[in-house]
Amino acid sequence: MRTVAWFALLVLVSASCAAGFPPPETTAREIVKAAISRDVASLTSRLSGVPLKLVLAAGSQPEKHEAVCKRLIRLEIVPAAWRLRFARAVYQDDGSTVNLHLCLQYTRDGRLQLAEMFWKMSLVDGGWKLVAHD
Amino acid sequence: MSRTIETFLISLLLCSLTACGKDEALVEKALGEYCRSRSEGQYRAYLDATGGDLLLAALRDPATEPRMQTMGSNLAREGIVLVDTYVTSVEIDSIKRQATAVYLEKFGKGLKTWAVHHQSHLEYIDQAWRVISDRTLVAR
Repeated sequence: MRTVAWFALLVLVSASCAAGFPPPETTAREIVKAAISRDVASLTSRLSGVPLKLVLAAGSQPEKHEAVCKRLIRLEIVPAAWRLRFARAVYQDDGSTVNLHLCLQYTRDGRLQLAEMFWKMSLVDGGWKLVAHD
Repeated sequence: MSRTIETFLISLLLCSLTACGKDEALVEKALGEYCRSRSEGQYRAYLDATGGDLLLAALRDPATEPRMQTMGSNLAREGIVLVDTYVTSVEIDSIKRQATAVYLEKFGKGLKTWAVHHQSHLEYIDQAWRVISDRTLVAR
């Protein structure tokens, strides 16, 4: 019987771990990667609300997709080397929405540059999605 | 059967207690890494240990790295070492994922030791507790 109890506990712990979503920072990192590589399919699956509408409104026009991607990462030129850091991750009281302050470090002309972004992410449809950005 | 349920409930309680204590231990570890990086002038480790205004100030100002390294090497040359960091209290808001910690930073030079009292705010950002603000309270 004791073995059964331990097994039940193990199942419970495993189930609670499996039910967890990847953190919003991971999704934010994937969105930046998708925006830099112009991967619209990957981007679409991680957006919601107005940002999603903007991508869908671009239809199949590559130049419009490029404009949406540039607006997301607030850069005119796509950086070759970049790293994303997070300055703040402020959760709302119920924990289902988070305001992220992102810092995109990148190299331009051999110099380290910094682009800051403010994103709002919510738990939508089984995962964190970008719902608004500045 | 009741024995089994009892064992199960005790295990569950122990697990939840372990989970509660884990965050406090992580906060203490984060503070230790923050203090160590600052006193030894390890710029990259400092960036990893910080968030908020502390991180932004370091990222925005390119002079931070040489300044930190100079400060670290000056302390080393004078023989001043960070002995340890002692956390005296930690309060964690598990919903906002923020923590307030009061701690003592103990320094030593030869046989002489002294401590500096700090209060820090930390935030759980990108899978780690990071110091977002730090202020000195009273030097002892």
